[in-house]
Amino acid sequence: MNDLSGGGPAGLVIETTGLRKEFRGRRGGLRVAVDDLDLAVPAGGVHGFLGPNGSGKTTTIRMLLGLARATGGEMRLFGEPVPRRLPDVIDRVGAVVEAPKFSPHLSGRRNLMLLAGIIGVPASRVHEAVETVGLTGRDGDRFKSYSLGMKQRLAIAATLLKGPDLLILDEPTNGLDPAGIREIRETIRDLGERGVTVLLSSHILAEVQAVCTSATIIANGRLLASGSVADLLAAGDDVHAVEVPDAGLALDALVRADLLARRFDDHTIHVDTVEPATVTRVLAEAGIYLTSMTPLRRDLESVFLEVTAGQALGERSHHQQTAQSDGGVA
Amino acid sequence: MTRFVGLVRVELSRLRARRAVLMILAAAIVVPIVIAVAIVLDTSPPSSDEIAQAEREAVSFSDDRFVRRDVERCLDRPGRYGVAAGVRDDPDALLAACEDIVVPSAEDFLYTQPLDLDGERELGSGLAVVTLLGALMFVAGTTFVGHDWSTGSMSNQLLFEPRRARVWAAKALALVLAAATVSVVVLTAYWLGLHAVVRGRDQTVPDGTLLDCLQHGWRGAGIAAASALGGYALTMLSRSTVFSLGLLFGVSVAGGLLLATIGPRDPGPVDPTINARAVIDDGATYYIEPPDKCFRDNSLFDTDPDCSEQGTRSLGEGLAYYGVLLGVVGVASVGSFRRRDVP
Repeated sequence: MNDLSGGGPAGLVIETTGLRKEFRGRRGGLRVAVDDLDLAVPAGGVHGFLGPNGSGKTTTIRMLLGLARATGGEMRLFGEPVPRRLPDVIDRVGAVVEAPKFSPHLSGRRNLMLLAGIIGVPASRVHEAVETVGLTGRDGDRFKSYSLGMKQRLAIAATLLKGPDLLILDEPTNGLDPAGIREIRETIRDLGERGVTVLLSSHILAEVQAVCTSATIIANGRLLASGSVADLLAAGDDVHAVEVPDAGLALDALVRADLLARRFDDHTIHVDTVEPATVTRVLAEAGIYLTSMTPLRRDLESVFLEVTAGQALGERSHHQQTAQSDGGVA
Repeated sequence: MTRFVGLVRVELSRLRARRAVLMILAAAIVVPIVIAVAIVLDTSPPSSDEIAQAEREAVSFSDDRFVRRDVERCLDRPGRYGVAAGVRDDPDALLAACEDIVVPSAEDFLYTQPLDLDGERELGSGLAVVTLLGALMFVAGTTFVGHDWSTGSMSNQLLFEPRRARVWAAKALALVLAAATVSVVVLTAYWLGLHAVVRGRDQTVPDGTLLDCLQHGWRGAGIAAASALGGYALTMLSRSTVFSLGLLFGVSVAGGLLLATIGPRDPGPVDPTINARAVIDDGATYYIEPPDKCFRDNSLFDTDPDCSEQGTRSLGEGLAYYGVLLGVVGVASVGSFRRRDVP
């Protein structure tokens, strides 16, 4: 796995090495939720943490925050080993893990006041946090009367009480309406621009692509790809759209030459290659002259599907992905 | 240290903000008041109308033919009626003694007993109020922290203070402070109130009675606070209010039966009720079922220590019993809270 972030250990806000988490079932069965995970999040910017449901994102976050014990491996926040030194750095970390969890019969403000009391921040900070997330006017209402979006905003307000250097958000836009999603994204982007490092765990790829500067993709508890979003999109096998008079003949020729190709329509083929010249040569040798060849722009969704598809196919595919990633992104 | 004090303050605020806990604490104040009022009313001196009515009833009964026949029987066989031998030879004295024994007096129709602080403390409402407070404080401890687990807000709190032993201790301290304060105030007010009523009725109170009652109450408050801590520790261990309340119910209902069937012959060292009484009453005596050999040879009751039917449990033994019990549950609770994943 190449680290495309370019950040050295000194600049890492989050770092895990060989992180592992096993769960034992009631009947003694063993389930590995996180498997030898090396995660590196550089300081500054918004870092996406991508993976399908059940891939180990939340478990990883919970281990980092001391809510779950790691079975093996090492973790560091701001260079400090956690959970041993977590109390030294926790005041620099704000986090929302899964659904917002507050006392339902207390008002949003009262809930925040109780949390503020734990770290000894003044009541004025509560007021600021409420204002930042746009809950002013509703902060006196009971938490249980809040919509899901308001609950999410209150959870983010709670993280802001600390004035954090690192913000860990686990699926923060879950259940929000489009306007709410947009507001949360803007808040996240704002925080990133103000120098707060944000780890955004999400399975909404467009969200990560829109907000994040870098990303890590995991599946089955394993790291599949990591780097800046731009590098993730650019690296790896490029896909080219090749226009030819007869797609069937051209596809046969390309497959015979061991190239990954698939028919798009009667006159167009999509070919995965980093060497466009190879395509022109193979087709020319088969007596086929292409009309045009255009590189296709990939989005994060296609990258995600590529790297996670291998995981779904099992262990053999995992090794293939690892081999691929040794030479590129994934 | 400052941060820990802040944490305790937050937990006290959390406790005050929890409606269920407030209702339980309110019940811990209101129910003893109701009990005290009931006792005061039940022991209130009769009014002049009630006394006149009782006297009328006594007079009417004194002429009742069944009563007169009973008086005659007494005159015939005074020994059966417990008439002292010295008066049997004097006909007037014998008649007076028999009428005194057989004929109902006005007092017999008044149905009231004077308020007796020693009686209330040793056998009456004192133990009942402490038992009630103990049960309520256990439920308060369970509810207080069960809410944190059921809403998931425990994890949120740990994101602000990850030192779990501190969190455990701060919650425990806040709860014990609240439970002890309420219990001490309630029990002190209870005994001071009853004492004031007794004095107000011009009854004499033996020296030291009030202090004995107050000490009884304060030891009871200690048991109530320990009960709150026990409920809290158990719920932190099980993470379920239902489990803790089920255990309390199970121990209350099935515990006695189990001890009776498979427990040791001397229940003192294991029975929670006896040990609670030992703490509250500054020592307790209790019945021990003698072995069969004692019934086969009754003389053994006088000679064999095994045939003693009475056991004693001291205050220290009671404290040790509850200390060990709380210690075991507390250590398991803290250990579990520190090690297990928090949902």
